[in-house]
Amino acid sequence: MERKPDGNELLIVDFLRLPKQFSWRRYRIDLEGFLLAWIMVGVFIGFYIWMSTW
Amino acid sequence: MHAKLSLLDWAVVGAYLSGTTALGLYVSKRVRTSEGFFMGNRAFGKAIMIAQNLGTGTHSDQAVGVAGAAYTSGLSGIWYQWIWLFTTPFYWLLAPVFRRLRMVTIADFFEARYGRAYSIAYAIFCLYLFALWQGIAIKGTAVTVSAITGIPELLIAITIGLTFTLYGVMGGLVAAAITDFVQGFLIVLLSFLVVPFGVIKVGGMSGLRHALPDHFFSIFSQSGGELSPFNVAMLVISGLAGIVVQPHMMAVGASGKTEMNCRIGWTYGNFIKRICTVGWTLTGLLAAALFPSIPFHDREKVFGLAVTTLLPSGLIGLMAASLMATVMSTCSAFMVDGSALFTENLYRPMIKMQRDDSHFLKVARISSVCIAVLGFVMGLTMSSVISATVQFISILPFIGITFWIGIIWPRATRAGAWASTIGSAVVFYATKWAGFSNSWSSLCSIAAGLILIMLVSLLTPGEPEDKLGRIYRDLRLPIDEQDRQLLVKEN
Repeated sequence: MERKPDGNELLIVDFLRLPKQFSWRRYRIDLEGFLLAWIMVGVFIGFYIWMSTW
Repeated sequence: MHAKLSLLDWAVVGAYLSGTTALGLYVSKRVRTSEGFFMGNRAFGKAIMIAQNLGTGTHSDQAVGVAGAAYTSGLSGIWYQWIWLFTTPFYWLLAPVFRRLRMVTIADFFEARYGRAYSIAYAIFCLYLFALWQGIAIKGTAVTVSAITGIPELLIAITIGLTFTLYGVMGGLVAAAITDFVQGFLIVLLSFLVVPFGVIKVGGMSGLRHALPDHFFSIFSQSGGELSPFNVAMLVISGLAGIVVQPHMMAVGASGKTEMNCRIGWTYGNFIKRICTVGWTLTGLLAAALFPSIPFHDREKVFGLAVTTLLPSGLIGLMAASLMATVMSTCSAFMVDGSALFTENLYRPMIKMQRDDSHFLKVARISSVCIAVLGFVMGLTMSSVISATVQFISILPFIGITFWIGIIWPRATRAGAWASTIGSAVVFYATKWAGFSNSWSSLCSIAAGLILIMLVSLLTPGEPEDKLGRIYRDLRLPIDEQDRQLLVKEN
């Protein structure tokens, strides 16, 4: 039985189905955390560039 | 370059070792089942999960290596570890996959997905890896601590080995993870302890800038080549392929009380490690400004030199304790995870008769000691720490491909998995032999592994529907509190 999308679906598990069933609501937790983590990566790179200007 | 340890230094080291052991033994009362021993009853909070990921993934040889690289090539030395910065966001996506599998080891997944033979081969290979990694960690730390304090390497190795074995055998993952919480603070301390003393001595950040040539502050290495976009992309891809089958990942990725704890622990424990890397790099830069005449082949000694030259009495003992913390946190986790592989994937299927859980807990404890002893012996007999490290990095992606495809593609079969693992290993070593660079060899072997698993899987009968159905149903269902308690009882 299909569960109602609640944001808990996993991008990796559904990788091959993504072209058909991707929606922000379905993968909300994966997407929010993944984007935040990339923002963190950006902050690290920004800090590194700032260090190089010392 | 030895520093003479004061009474205060000895007191700090003694307090650390006895405190860690006492804490590990105290929390071991919580361990009454094999599930508790291997997975900590899947009850860890966010802080413990972060500390567990930081502690298990950080070793003193990484600090020594990055400081040495920064000493010779400047700020760009940070990339020796920050190469993994780009894989870190993916840990957010991976953690719930591991947790929802509801398994104790990665070999459990391989058994369910590709059959017992593949699982046993993986378990045996990983037991060797655990012993090897423990050997590398113990050896690396003993060399560094000995260089700083003058204490004989063997004595340091024995002290480290006895301490983590004692609390790890009694308390399993619970003791390993909770002592990691304390050891995590020491790892952060280790990373930045030298920096303020060095900055003062060099005359502030402006003094550091004036003491070093401009290219020490350039973003990428002046030597070029090593960090081209292609090489970085290949390191990230092979890193991601390999990390999912590092045998301790089931415990460090899936032992949290909730899915969110697992995600936050895995991702942000690693981000803290990236912050620590900044401290290691600064230590290398400060050493370059203060001790400019160390030859290239001795560059990995600069971390120890900075410690002995810059730190006052008492803090040298704290640094020695912090260095030992990095290896004990790693080795205790490896020991417990190795015993899980032996007990669950080799011993349990081998003895056909039904035994109660206390029997398997006893086997887990005995096998923990054996793995620790094996690691210790490997550490003392290892001729080259570096060549051993390179071996495991190149081998893991061959197996990782079958894990990824096994999750993503239900049609993948056991014959495909074997063909992929053997084929990609053959291609990797053949291309290396033909003179290809590491990056091109990785690209060729990963491509060969992917093609082989797809091709052979399509040509062979699919895996049984009922087994596959269970795996994919589990993967789509988050574990709620009721499921978690049931899982702890069942296992």
